[in-house]
Amino acid sequence: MKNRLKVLRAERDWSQADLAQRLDVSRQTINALETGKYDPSLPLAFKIARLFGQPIEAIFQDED
Amino acid sequence: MSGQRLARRRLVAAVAYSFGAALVLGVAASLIGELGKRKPEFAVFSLVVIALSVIGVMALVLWLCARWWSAADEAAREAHKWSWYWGGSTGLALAAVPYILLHAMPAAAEAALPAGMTTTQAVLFGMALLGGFQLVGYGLFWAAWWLKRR
Repeated sequence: MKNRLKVLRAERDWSQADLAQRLDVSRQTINALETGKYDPSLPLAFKIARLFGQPIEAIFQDED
Repeated sequence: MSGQRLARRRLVAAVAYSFGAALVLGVAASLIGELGKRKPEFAVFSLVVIALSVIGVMALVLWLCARWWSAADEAAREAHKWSWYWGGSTGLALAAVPYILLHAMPAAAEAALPAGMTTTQAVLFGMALLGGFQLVGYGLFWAAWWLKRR
């Protein structure tokens, strides 16, 4: 699954550690999410969407 | 303070308390165990105390596991679940090879044991070996999970 996490984070000038703290996850998890190598659970996806003030589908795109 | 940080702080405190409690239980059990060795009338009592101490320490370990689990985020949990399933299963499958071979050739198994090893030692060694295979498998798969997602 592709996502715009890295772009959204960069727009706010946040580091991976900043975003990790805001989402209450580890920096390694943020890295795995940004590289598209780990798909978040629905609760985490909603949390990300709330944090960036965008709908989930505007952040995550199915690659099919 | 974030939830994960708070959970980590609680985990550190829980580890400290558990080590203290395990130390007290261990010292008490070893003293009473020694008493049981010296005075046969205390043998059953010392065995019960040692058993209860081991149960107590294992309960502490499980409690720590629960604390540690709540301090881990979802990706860390996923890595552990995946690694226990695949690493543990692979380790178990590999451990089955010597297990079946030694079953098929008991004479070779006897010859492979170090001289002077008692039956109890051999059983304990076998149990440790089985756990070791699973633990190594888990460790390798856990490392692979994170390396793949760097």
